[in-house]
Amino acid sequence: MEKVITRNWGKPGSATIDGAIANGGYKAAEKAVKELDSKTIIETVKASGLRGRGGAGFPTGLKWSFVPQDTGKPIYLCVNADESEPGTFKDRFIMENDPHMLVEGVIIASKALNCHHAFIYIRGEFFQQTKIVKQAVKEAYAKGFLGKGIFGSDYELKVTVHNGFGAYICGEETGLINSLEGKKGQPRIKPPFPAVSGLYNCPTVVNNVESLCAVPWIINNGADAYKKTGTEKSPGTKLFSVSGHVNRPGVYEIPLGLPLTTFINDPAWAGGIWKGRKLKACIPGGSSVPVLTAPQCEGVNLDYESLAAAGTMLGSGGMIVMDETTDMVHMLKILAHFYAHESCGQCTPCRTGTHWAYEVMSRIDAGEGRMEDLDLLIRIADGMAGQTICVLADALAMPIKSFVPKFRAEFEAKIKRKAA
Amino acid sequence: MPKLTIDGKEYEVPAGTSVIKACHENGIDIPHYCYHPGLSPEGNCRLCLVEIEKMPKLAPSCTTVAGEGMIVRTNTDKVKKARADVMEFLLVDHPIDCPICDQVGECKLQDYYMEHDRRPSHVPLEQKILKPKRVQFSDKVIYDAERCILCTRCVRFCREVPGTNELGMFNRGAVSLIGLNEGRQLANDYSMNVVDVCPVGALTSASFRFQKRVYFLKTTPSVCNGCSRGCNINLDWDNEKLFRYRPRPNLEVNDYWMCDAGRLSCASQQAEGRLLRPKARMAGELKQQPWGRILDRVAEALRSAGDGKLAVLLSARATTEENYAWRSLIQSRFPKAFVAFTPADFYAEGKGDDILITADKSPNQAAGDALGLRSGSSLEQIVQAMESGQIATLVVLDDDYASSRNPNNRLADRFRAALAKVAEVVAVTPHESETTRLASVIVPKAAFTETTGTFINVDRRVQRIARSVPPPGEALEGLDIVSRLAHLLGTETASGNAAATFARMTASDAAFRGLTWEGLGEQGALLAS
Ligand SMILES: Cc1cc2nc3c(=O)[nH]c(=O)nc-3n(C[C@H](O)[C@H](O)[C@H](O)COP(=O)(O)O)c2cc1C
Ligand code: SF4
Ligand code: SF4
Ligand code: SF4
Ligand code: FES
Repeated sequence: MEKVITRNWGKPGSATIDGAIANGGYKAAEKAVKELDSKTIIETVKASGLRGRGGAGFPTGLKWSFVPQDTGKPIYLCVNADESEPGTFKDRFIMENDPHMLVEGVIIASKALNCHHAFIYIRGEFFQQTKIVKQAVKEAYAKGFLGKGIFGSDYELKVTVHNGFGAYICGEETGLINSLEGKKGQPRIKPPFPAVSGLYNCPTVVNNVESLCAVPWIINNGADAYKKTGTEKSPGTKLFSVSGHVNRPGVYEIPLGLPLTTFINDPAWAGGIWKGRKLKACIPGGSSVPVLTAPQCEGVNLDYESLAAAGTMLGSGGMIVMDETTDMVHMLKILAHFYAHESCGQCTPCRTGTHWAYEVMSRIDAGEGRMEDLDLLIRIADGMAGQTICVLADALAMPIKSFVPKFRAEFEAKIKRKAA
Repeated sequence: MPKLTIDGKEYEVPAGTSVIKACHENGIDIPHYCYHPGLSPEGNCRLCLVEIEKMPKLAPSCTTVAGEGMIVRTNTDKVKKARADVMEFLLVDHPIDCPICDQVGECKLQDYYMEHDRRPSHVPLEQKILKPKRVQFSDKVIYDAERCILCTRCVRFCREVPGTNELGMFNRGAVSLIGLNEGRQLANDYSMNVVDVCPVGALTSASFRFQKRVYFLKTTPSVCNGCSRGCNINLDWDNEKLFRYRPRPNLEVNDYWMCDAGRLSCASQQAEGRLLRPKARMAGELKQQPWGRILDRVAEALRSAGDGKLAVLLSARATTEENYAWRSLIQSRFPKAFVAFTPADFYAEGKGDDILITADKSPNQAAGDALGLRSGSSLEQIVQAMESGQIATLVVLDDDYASSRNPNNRLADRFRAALAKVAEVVAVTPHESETTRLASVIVPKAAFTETTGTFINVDRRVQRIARSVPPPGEALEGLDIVSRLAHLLGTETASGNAAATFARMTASDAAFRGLTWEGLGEQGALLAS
């Protein structure tokens, strides 16, 4: 497999612009700005089959093609670097190791969208990463890769780096847009979709860091080359950030379609369950997606379709691996706490459902649960799922609806222990 | 005009109509909290979810625009379950302090719980989230965060109607609450509308709270008399006492709102300074008299003054019918008498705004023009005539020309002095004033809330007001007073019945042609141009 995103990681100086140029960086951007028109770029990205790496997996080229070009309003690109989902830490690695790849992706995407002002919205707690990205942007301006007349063309692009203030919900694209506008970070009702009415009510594309970083490689090598890796419907490579009970936690670029158990066990990737223990469960795509039991991990491949067929999702690629000693009740309580804490609070089912579920989980975990609580949890999850403005409510409903039935015996045991 | 199918029936609605509006306008009930027809939709409460064919999830009907060929179902099991779930979520942390809550009886939580949920509570009271119970947003509005369902109607009202943006939603998740933005007070001229838009008992009115259980209140539709906008209102009353004004929707006049000053005039309207009994000056002293004696005295004063020595000051505070009845009486019995109407700028105060409030603080200036009352004498001419001793009898309705407190009353001093030269000064009005103190006959009149008739607003819209509580003491409706006088003076030019008087007016006066009392309905109608 040829590395796309991580190809320069670890090379000396790769976080500086000279290092980036030495590694072949900015060639694609120059080509896009000087030689390619908007349509060609969009068609190429479409043909590559690249899908959004922020979680939803929406085809990137298709998203760009939805932006109306005739409204007379400016078009904005927002880079979603808010990465706050438990278990997900891949964008952070990109920003630390190869910030110029992101800047280059921004230039190409902006050219494709006829955007002249892009925003990079970075999670508030990412102080260090913000510094690195800001430095990269500064260097790109200095080299004439950003600003007026970039690469000697008549194309102009401004890039603004902006920090969040510590809310997971600002990673949801419309929450991000509100936050950028200086408003409370809470999602907007869709439609209208950002493509039509986003930042300052102008056509806007929100893209994940990793999605944009795949673009320069695709422009350099072509859509067909990108499709050589991965599966037919999930082409290309994907970063997985793996944490939990594995020997080699970290961020890995894998060809989509790699068997899940290979990823967990292969010494090239996660390197197996630590301390010689056995696998108990795995959340493959970030804390929001349904959990898989160890037997369910068998035969599943890491691509959008295979994971969907297994009843879970690829999500952001934030894999959490749990060994046989893991307390699944406690685990679900922690997740419930996270979502209850991060719910923006505007939708009734999410505001109350996440909190109520957390309360119920707390008492079960404390050994004060009742058997009816297990049905109650499912009922709460059912009342939340699919009923809200954004999918944060679903992001807790899905774990509840997979943890409780799949590890029911463990939940019951905790409830009974108290009774006994 | 897209056609859509709702529960199997096809409807055509104007382009851009939301699904909830399409339903409501066709008599299909969709429960809702955050939606308010006068505010932009925000889709946060999730109670209005409906099933729309081809949409993967239930859709909020308040933010979904009706589209051609849309197939909507409002009553499926899935919809019912979603409603029940939302109700359950809303009640999980609700304090359920109905016994001490002012909203009881008009609370959407109670109503919708009965309609859509009816399940027992799962969370014991002591486990509910505690929040501030009594936050003073201003001296008029008090907030209870525990009762708040965070529908943000109040926030959107302040942002969208007065445009003042005092309120916001603070915190996240279950501990969210509504609060004042930093350094702000809820101090706009329309602030009390947030109490009306609040679907629950979270926002209450400082002046109304704990006064009355609303289910004891009777409601009479009326029109505010605070300014010439003529906002449509409901008078809420019980046991001969008025408790509050609430705006009554009229998209041609006030949308769903009214100003705070208008709303708070409820108390002053009925309280201090009401004239309760007819009185007349006898040997210099004001003495209470029975109605028969008073009316005889007034009739005699009119008759003896006759044409040339009689002056009548009609009023922008009186109903159109009362003014009309006086005009008819004078025209038929004393055609040469002096008749004037409240000067156009008499009640002008400041500038008004571009929302509702107008500069003219009287409710019926437009009646002066519609009834042609400005073509007669002017107030100035009458004062001159009084000064020269030419007037023997003066009848003055409502307006306090003797008071110098009103800066627009430029003739106050002259008027007051000239009163001494008038033998009989008859003041017909609900309230005590400088003028009534100097009058020789006091005729206590019902206030507008106790009166049936019409006011004509700044846009020449004729709007009905109706009697709610009876007038206090022995006061009578203005129209009743004129018609009794007319009878004593041997004409039947006036009837004590507002509808009948209105009918006469439409026959005799071109401006009213084509209108009918019934036709005015609850929304009024424009004068012929
Ligand atoms: C609660 C919530 C949090 C999210 N957080 C992130 C995030 O941190 N980073 C991200 O790229 N996308 C996040 N998303 C997804 C974005 O809404 C959006 O789909 C994504 O940024 C689109 O980019 P892509 O098409 O390139 O994947 C989140 C979504 C939700 C509902
Ligand atoms: S689902 Fe939750 S986080 Fe998303 S908008 Fe609604 S309340 Fe906010
Ligand atoms: S105070 Fe009332 S109107 Fe305002 S958000 Fe709460 S429930 Fe809604
Ligand atoms: S705007 Fe005028 S009519 Fe309307 S409520 Fe206020 S005072 Fe009354
Ligand atoms: S009324 Fe539609 S979501 Fe609240």
